[in-house]
Amino acid sequence: MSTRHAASNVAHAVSDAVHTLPDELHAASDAVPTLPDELHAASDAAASAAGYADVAASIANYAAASTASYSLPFVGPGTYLIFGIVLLPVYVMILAWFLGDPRDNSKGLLGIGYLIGLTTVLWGGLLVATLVIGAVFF
Amino acid sequence: MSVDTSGVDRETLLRPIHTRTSRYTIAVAAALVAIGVWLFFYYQQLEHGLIVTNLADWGSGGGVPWGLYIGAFIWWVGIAHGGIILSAAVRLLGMDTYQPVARIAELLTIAALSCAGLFILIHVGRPDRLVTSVLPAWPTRVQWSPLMWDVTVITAYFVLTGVYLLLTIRYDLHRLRAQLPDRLEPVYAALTVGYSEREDQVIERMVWWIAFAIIIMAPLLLHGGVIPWLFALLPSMAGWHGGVQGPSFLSIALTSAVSGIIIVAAAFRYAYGWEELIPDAVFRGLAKWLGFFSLLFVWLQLQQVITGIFAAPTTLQHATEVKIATPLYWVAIGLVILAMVYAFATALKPSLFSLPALVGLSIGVLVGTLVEKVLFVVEGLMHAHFDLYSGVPGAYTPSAVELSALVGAIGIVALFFLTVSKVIPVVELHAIEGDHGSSVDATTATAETSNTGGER
Repeated sequence: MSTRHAASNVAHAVSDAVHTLPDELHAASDAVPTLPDELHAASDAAASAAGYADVAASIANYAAASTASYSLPFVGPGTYLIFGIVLLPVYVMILAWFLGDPRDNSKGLLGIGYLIGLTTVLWGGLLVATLVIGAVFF
Repeated sequence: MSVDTSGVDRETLLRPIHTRTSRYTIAVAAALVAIGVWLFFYYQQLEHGLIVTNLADWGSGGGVPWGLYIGAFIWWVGIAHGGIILSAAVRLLGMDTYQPVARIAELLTIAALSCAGLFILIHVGRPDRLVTSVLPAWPTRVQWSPLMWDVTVITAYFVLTGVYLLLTIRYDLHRLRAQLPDRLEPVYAALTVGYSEREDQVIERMVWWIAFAIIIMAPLLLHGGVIPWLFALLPSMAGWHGGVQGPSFLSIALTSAVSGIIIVAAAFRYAYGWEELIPDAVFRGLAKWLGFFSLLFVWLQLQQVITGIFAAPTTLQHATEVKIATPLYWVAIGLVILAMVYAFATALKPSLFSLPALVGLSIGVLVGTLVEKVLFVVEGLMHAHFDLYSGVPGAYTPSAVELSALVGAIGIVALFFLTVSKVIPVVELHAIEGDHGSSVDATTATAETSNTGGER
């Protein structure tokens, strides 16, 4: 949380600092009338910089508000949706294997072994395919 | 209600394992040729990249980086649904009429899901990225990314279906072992490891719960959930966005799934003279389901078209107008309506029923649903909000490389059935035993000797 606020504060500080530049540059332009075009150009450039800084501040704010939670494991809509709702029937199924009657824990474990084994075979097979493809093509 | 298969003996059930005909050899050769054609083109894709397809990047093909590959992915997952749902319905709802085709349906689920995964593998361009990129990112990205949800739930679905098959096959293999080929003994030993007849009721109960999990997860949360959410959660694509996509995807999946079962079951019946084992009553029942699901399909298309053209937001109206102005869309709808009308006509007047006609119309439904899904993907991309791709040259047409993948996938499914049917019975023993409970009692005595050591 502190990192998030720090990032946000830094971004705002940058934005504020750049916003103060145009007035100073306009003042300098008034004081030295022989160089108005160059200074006005510099003023415009500073205003553009202020605009970029605003965008940077927005991005920093967005990042500060979301990056931290993106990077933490097991939080987010997918966590609740997939592990809380979509896979719920699977949890019920596994519980029923071991809690209802007639039951046989060794057969329940056989079922669990099949679940884990098939998942491993599926993704392990893809891993092997990846290695083969990597060796042949890349 | 169940069909009468009392006159069918075990030898008939095992006919695919015991017979070898020239037609079988020709079928294997044809499947291998189809796979070979795809491999030839796929090698080009691996060597040169997706540039050999019409999906290269945003800068070509009318701005369509998702095309036939993604459309076919959705289509194959849809076909996969019918299989296991039908089998689960047999077990959960007592729809014993469909017992003779239950295992064919389960196998179709596994084959079709494999093809769905194959299309994702092909679509990512560099298939190794599925392991090197998707897998490492999964623990954190599954929280946010619908693509990761999709990978997760399809894996779960595939695994549940596989476990379902592995557990149900034990009963059959144990009792039929004496009649199965000796050369495959290690396979049968592995598949029946630790088998004891005392487990039958326990396994039956476990399988019931798998069916329960599948019948909730697969239709409602996978093809009516995670897969449509890949599109429906994107507000930038007018033609994709919205809650109607869930039921709409599901209706298309169920329609194509029943068609797939009809085609594969009819092929087995034709090849092995299984008129008694898979009688007309099974196909008449499937035809009614096909009619009902087709009706849902058409009804949900109507919902989308009406809400899309009557006072719709500008971009949705544009996307819908493009859709209904596409002749191919009406070909797809027409093929489904044709099957629906025939199914209801045969229900009203049974003499109109003809299995070849039903198979032909089922093939038409599969073509129609594939076309609808590809158009959905492609037109959704081309007619997004903000008209991102108006300046992108060209228009998307599936390339030979992409079409070859479709041919190859069909070859893979055919080869899968041709191979598996030589190893395990593709019709459950229960189908010719009648009531499951009594069949356990009836076969206890005959299998008692083999039960002691698990050996023939």
